[in-house]
Amino acid sequence: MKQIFAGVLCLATLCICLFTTGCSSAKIAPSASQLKEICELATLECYYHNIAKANENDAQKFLFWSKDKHFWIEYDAVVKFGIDVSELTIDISRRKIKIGLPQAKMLSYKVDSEELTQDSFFVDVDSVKIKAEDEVEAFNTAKKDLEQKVSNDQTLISEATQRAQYLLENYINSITELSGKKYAIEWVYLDSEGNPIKQ
Amino acid sequence: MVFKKLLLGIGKKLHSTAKWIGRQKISVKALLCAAVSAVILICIPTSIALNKHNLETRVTTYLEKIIKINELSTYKMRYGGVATSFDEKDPSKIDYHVSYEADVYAGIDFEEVKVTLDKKTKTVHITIPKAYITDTIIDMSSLDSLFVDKKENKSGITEKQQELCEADIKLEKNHQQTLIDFAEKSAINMLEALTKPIIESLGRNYSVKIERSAN
Repeated sequence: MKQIFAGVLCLATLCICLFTTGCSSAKIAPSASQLKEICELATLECYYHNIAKANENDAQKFLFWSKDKHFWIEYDAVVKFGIDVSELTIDISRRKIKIGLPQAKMLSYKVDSEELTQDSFFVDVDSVKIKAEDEVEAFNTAKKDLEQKVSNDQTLISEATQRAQYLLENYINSITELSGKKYAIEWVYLDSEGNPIKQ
Repeated sequence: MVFKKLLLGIGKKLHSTAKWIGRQKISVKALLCAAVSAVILICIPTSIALNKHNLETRVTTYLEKIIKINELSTYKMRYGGVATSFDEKDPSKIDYHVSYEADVYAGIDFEEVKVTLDKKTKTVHITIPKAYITDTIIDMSSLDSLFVDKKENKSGITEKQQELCEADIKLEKNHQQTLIDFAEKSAINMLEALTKPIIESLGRNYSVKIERSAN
């Protein structure tokens, strides 16, 4: 009977101690799913208002007389930059988080051709007459050019990568702050093939 | 006098309760067990509630802190536009078009972000102020002209063209609004990434709601 009584007392004391001291911080811990969610939210959406310029020398020729084709098109595009979450690697051990971070890349690209109106075109007075097919061709070329330019834009790629890294780091620091447990982060930068980049 | 009476009353009550316990033949051990159980029943829920309250307050304060010091507060965009110059004597006639590229910066004032906690609905409300254009820088090397009136193609026109482009970008209200919308969307995404995982870590079905300020 005495033993049971002592046991009850010990259990009660232990329960009180546990609940009064560590209860609040025990449940907060970093999770891989949340790190992935952060990367998805870290997407950088850019709005472009751009001018496509078409310039063709001697588009129309007759003996010694020639005329150029020269006009501009004003159009809008929206480009999304971010980390491809499927390429992100996360390894959480007791107090260390190893993150394999790929470079951000262009995730989607949309040019708004429906917004084009007659006011979107600016034609040089000396230009040959611009036909509908010229406009379509110039617009398609502009689309391809912008896509290539934007997908290789190192400033945007670096900005989107840094944004993801900042938010991931902030999350882990927040968990450290709120749980009272220090988590170390090891960054491994990955190339497009998923291999670590030697620093 | 009243106080003395009250003390006497309490003393009598305690005495009669002790007598009643004595009559019930309750052992000291049983009494102690009951006391310990009472402590557990009262202290643990109180302690949980206090911890929960402290944690909620700590998280709200912490979120406010990280939002205000965040480094990703500006949204930059490369804007390509066309400004048109009209004849001063006959404004229906176009002199020339000038194309330009500009870096436009927009953002919200993160100092104005408010974080409140609704304990009833378990929702953390984050209210953001309206985004605004913070700066516009025209790239002078990008200027290119299409002359309708060829006589306008003369030296010293660059200064006039710069003024024209600066005025044009301010007048492009539709594009400015689109840019502001994108800056707000970017800020919301970032705030969600900053706060949602932390709130979810609490594991008590808390959610985050980010709203634009009405003002």
